[in-house]
This record gives sequence, C-alpha cells and structure tokens, in this order.
Amino acid sequence: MAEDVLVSLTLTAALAATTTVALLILAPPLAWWLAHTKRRGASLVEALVALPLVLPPTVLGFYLLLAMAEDAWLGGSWRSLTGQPLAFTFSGLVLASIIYSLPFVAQPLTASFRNTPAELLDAASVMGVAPTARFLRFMLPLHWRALVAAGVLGFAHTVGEFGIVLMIGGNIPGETRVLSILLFDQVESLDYASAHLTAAILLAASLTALTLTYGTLRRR
Amino acid sequence: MSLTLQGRFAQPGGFELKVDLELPGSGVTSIIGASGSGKSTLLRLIAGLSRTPDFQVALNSQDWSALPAHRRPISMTLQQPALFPHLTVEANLRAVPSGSRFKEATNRFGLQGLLGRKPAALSGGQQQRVALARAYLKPAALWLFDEPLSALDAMARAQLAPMLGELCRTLGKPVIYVTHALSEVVQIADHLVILEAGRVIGAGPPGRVAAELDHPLSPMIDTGAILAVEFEAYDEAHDLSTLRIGAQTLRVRGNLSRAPSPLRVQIPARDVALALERPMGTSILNCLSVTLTGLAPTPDGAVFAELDCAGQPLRARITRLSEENLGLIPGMALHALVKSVALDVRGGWAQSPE
Repeated sequence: MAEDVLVSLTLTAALAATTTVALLILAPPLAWWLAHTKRRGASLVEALVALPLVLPPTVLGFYLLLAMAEDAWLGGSWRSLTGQPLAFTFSGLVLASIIYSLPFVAQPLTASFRNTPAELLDAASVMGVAPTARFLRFMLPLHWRALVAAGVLGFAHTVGEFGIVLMIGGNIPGETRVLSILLFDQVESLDYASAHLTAAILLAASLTALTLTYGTLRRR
Repeated sequence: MSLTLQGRFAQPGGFELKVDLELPGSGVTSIIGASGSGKSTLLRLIAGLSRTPDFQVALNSQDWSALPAHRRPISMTLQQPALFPHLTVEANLRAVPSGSRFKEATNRFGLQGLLGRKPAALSGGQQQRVALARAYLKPAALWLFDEPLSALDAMARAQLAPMLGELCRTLGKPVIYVTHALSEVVQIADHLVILEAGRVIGAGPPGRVAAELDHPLSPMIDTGAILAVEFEAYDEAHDLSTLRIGAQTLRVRGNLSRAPSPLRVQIPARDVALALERPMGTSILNCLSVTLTGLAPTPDGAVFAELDCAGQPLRARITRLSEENLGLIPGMALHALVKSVALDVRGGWAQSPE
C-alpha cells in the first residue's frame, strides 16, 4: 500500500513540477499582455484564461478527451509529431493541467503587472531598453513575489486536480494515477488506513505551500 | 541646427495639444506652463513616450517620428526619479544599455558613497541625483528635463538646482527643460516657450517673451519681466549684493560675486508698485526710475503697466483705481518699487530684501 502511495506521490510531484515550469514560461508574457493591452479582444482572452475557475472540471475534461482522441486534431497531430498517444498518458495530463491551472498562475501575475508604476516603464524606455529586454531584465525581477506566488499556486492546484485527471487520464499506476485519484480508489475499496495517509500528505503539502506563499508575499 | 516640433496630439477627454515650433538646436529651451497646459505631453512626444502619426519630431532635419522611445538619442529625467526599487544604485546605473563614463557620472553627481544602497534608503534629492547620473550615462543628442525639482522639498531643491544649472551649461547638448516655475529657469534658459491650454502663446529669448506677451498669463505663471543685470559689489555686513542695471542699482540678498555674468533676474509684475515721486521712509530697498510705455487690462480686472527701465522692459500689475489715482499716461516718468527679485537655479542664493 505504502508503495502505491510513493509511486503516486512521485507521479503527482512530476506532473505538478512540469506543469508549473511550463506555466512559468507561458503565463508571464500572456499576463503582461493582458495587463497592458488596450485591444478590444482582450476581455475574451481574459475570460478564456479564467474559464477553468468556474467550469466544472468534467466539462473541460470532456472536450479535451474529444480533442485528444487519435482521430481528432490534437491527438492526431501529437501522434504524428511524437508517435505517442495523448489521451490516458502523462503528456496528456501535463497538457490538461497547463490549461486547468493557467488562471492560478496568470491571474496573480496580471494583477501584479497592472500595478507596475508607469514611470518605471518610461524610465526604461528613455534609458534605451527595448520592450522585450525591459520585460525580461527589469519587470520579471521587479515582480518576483508575484512569480513565487503564481508558481506555488499553480503547483498546489495541479496537485489538487481530480475531475479532469479522471476524465482524460484514467487510473494507470505510474502513468496517470495521481494522489487524488489514489485516494478515491482507497476510499472506494474501504482501505481507510491508506486513505488517511494519502489525504494527510495532500493536506500537509497544500497547507505548507500556501503558508510559504503568503509568508513570502507578506514580507516587505 | 534646430528641433522641429509640429503637429497635434489629442487626448481622450478633449484635451488637444497643437504646436508648430522651431526650437534652437543648442542651449537651454524652457517650456513653461501651468499644470494642464500640455507641457509634459509635449515633452513625452519629443521623447517618443507618446506617439501619433500627426506629430512630427525632427532634430537637425533627422526625423524621429517613426522611432520608438528606446531608439531615440535622448537623455531624459522624469518628474519622479523612477529608479528600479529592487536594484541597488550601482545596478540602476549599470542598467543603461549603452552606458559609458560610469566613474565620471558617479563623481559628478556625488554618488560614490551610495552605490550599494537601494533607492528606498535614499532621500528624494539623492534619488533624483541617481536619476540624473543614469541619464548622463547614455550618450544623447538631446536632453529632456521634466520638472526635475518639482518632487523635492525646498532643501533638496536648493542643493540640486546648482548641479542642474551647471549640468545644463556644460553638457554641450541642446536641453529642453519643462517647468511651471519661471524662476527655476530664469538663469539658465536661452529660449522660452510658454504654453497655455495646449497652445504656444509665446516663444523666443526670455527678455522678449516676458515683455511681449500680449496674452496675460494666468496668475500661476506671472512672468513679469526678465532683466539682464551686472554684479557690482557685495556688502558683507548686510549680506547684500548690488546689481547694476544701466545707471541704476538693485540690491538682493546673498553674495553673488561668484555668479556668472551677465546675470538675469526675474521680477514678477505683482511685486512691482508704482509711485509718482521717489518715496521716502520705506522698507523697500529697490526703487527704479522708469518710463511708462503702455497700459493693458488683465482679464481679471487689473492693469498691466508696461515700463521701460534703462532700455529694458519691466511690468507692474496695479489696480484700476491706482491707475486713475496716479493719472497714468504713457510717456510719464515713474518710480517702480520692487518688492521681490527672483534669482534662481545657479545658487538658490537670492531673495531680494523686504
């Protein structure tokens, strides 16, 4: 039983870490654009990013499952690109987690980026710093607290995923059976002793992550 | 050598800036106006921080209009020091991509002891000095100052003003200095542009602009008159300097013996009173013999008396009742009692005595 937990724990950590790294690369430029664009389409993009917050995970999982099928556009192109299927695999889970956890990373970043003092942007421009360098060299370090918060929230939220994993990942040990799924299994088979261990790990990990995040943000 | 600024820029909310200016390509040009006159907007257009196809900026016939701000050969300080809070002073300075002469800049602005500190640990004046040094590091063809003293308290202002005046004189590059306080630039400006409600209402050499403005300015910027004077003597016992204007003298507080010559002083119109005869028994030290050259009503019901003082224009703001009581007619000889003389920037030295 404890071995099951270890396998699922490793898998969950790998999934959350991969997702977080991917999101910390993808989300900052998107959040910067959302924070500063004046384009009309921005509200739609912002709504799409926030959608996983309000949508039942099963809805998102259902559409992703359809898209990841071998004969669908996403699954098909993934297969021709890598030779691997996407549904019921670790890669598929990573892709779904990126979409599902995106608002938890993008929203704190957008909020923080919006608070960038305008004169700092002006100062960088008149110093002769091009916009891309300005973002990478000055804005990301300036907003490091938000990046930490976004990373931890993205990680913790990926650890807490359940519905979407069930829909597109199934329950394959070592491949897609993350801790939350394992806990579901343990309860269903009335193995409460193991369920206690799994639940405690999830609870402690989430509480630690959030405490660390709020501690970082609180410090001035 | 010239800087061309031409076009219009509309802001949401109805404000529109419309200018057609040919500024000298050397020396210090000061753009003066009350808040909301569009002076900062004009500076942002020159810097490229605001851009519109309707506005053309060209230095020596090199058109910058299509260049984004970071590609324009400008050095600029903003109203706020705008230092990166997460970087030390040194890292802020090293952040200038084409930065050179680091040592010279830190020495010039007295930053040697501050390099390891974060901006939050600096005073307002120190922060503004770092901002100046940062601008100094970038090789530029044009300098822009946006109210560099406005965010500072009086003490820091008095310390920074001489540094700024010295910088303007020794840069060897054209400078555009935006301010709402004429007194701040009276010593250093070679050229004035007066803005009101998005329009240029006066442009040219300081003495001429102040004298020729037929459009009386809002009370906030009482340009009054700008007179060229020469230092004559310093009376240490009373801490007074005597300044010569033609055959007459003005006395102002402080030692001006080391001041550059000729000096320029600004005398606000509201600080000039008129008398038919030279008054006796008054605390006012400065009384100049003048000739009345004209009278012009102000929009708020007062009168501007235009005066000639040894060939230089002076202006007094008086009430209509005084005009009647004195029986003012152009050509009359009068005595102008000067309550204050502003003499700023290069020293923070001078205030006229009461």
